[in-house]
Amino acid sequence: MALRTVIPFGPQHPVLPEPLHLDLVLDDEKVVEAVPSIGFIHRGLEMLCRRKNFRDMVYVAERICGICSFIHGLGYSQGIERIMDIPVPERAHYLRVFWSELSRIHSHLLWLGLAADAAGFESLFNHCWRIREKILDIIEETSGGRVIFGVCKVGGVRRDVDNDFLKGILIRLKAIEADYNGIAAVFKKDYTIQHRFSDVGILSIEDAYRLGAVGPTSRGSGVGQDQRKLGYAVYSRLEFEPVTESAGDCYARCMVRVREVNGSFDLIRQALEKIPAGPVEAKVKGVPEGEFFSRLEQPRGEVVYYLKGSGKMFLDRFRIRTPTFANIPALLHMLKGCDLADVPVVVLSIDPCISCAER
Amino acid sequence: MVMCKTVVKSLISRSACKMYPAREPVFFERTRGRIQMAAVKCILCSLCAKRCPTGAIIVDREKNIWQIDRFKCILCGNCIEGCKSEALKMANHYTGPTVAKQGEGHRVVPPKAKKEKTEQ
Amino acid sequence: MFENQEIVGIEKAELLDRIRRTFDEGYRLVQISCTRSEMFQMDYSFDKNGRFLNLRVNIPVESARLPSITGIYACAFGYENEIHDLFGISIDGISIDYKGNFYRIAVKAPFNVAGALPGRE
Repeated sequence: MALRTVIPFGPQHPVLPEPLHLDLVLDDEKVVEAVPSIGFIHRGLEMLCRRKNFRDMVYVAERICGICSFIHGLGYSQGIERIMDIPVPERAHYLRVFWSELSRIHSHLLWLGLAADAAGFESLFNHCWRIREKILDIIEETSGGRVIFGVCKVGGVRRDVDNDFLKGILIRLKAIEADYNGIAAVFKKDYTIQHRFSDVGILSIEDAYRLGAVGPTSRGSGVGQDQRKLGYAVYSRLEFEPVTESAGDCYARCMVRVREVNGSFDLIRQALEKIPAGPVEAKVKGVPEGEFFSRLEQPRGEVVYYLKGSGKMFLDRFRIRTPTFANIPALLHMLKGCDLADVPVVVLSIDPCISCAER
Repeated sequence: MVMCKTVVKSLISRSACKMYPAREPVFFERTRGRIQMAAVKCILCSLCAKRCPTGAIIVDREKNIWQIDRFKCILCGNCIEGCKSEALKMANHYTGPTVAKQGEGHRVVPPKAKKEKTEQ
Repeated sequence: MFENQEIVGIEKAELLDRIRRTFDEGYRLVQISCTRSEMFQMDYSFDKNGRFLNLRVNIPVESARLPSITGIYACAFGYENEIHDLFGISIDGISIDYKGNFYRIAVKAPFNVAGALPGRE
């Protein structure tokens, strides 16, 4: 007779960057079922659209999450620009791609550090974050803030970076990439990481599609969808392929993120070579009237913004569907059948950003 | 074994730590640190207060006081973009802790009085 | 620059049939959202290979009840619980029903407010 117990996981746990609660139903040491409970950081940010000017909402959108802040601001601005038909200059688009990819690199490096920490490899954690500090310095030099960039606005970007400075950044990124490849080799070849992450939390390709998983969670199982291929900003002019793996376990998801960092370095190089001269902002006149679904690719997956305006300074509805919210059903499916000791690794492998999931 | 190269490199090279606060921090030119106000240039038009998204700036035209609540300020820079007399600037050093939560007030000489002074 | 977005208005009675057809055609569920104006506007969004399809159902505020689609798309339980907690719409037959405890909020149905809220512009 197996002993059935219910063990609470979270909201405080060393492996979780943000609070998430799971009630794990266990038979001896194997998880039979997991029941999630969220709502610890619900701030009701969507309702603020009714009392803040639509131009000021971009600051609220940026502060939904600290790790993926620029792309939230970008998604909001893009939605409003499309509703109001504002022609954004080319240079602003290229600069937005530049900052988006830097945001992706720093988010993945943060996750790689946390993954090494979850495997018990604390010195690798610090090496990943040491490289991340250099990326944050570049972000601070170009935009003014380390984590909350404050540089995206409706109609373009607020700061320009001159071309000589960008050439200097390209040279620095080459050195950072060489450093990063040394660390990536540890993730690819080290015995501890492989042993801890392989064959844990398996998600088949049919389940990933059926349960609505997005981002590296689905790309690690073989579903090749990447919303950057939709061609927003200037991604339609840059060459890249979505990174996929086929194993569907935590190690595959880790490898997808490791390879995506290299992909992002390449995208930055392409964008900075093609960047044209010109203004970086367009004048915004009038008020938004209409609706639009704006879809982007965050480091964690696909994010959807639904914006609806009806001719006033305040928007009617600002609805955000973040990738972590879409990955929760996939997480519950992955947890069935794994050991209690593997639960932290599986939960971390979807890259939970709960402050995004519960704005 | 794969980690050996990184470990040896970090043993012999300089520490990556910035040793704050033992060493002075070096800020970049664009770092958003603190809003600075030059009271001599202010004309009390209150455009900055209207553009502030959090309501951190309060301009009192009767008492001639310009106030900012440092805790509410998110360093977005909207006020600087709106200021007509270039009284506001973004400094790049860190906003230190304060003792009281109330606004930090500056006395401003109103523009009419300034004009009379120069004409005298 | 952006893909085509198809928004189709349907009636509440044909909701389940239409969604079953969408599932059979191989679309994945992207999100379910709700907007409160004079009526509740429910948006069911689907995607297949970059093609975006949105089914829109308008239901009156007084008798707001909907059938759950978790029988067809199992991943919809999160969105339906959220809509029940934030807007107060009753949804029958959710596979994992938290009965109002999904979000830990102090006020019932806080988003169920029409019109602009008071505040500074």
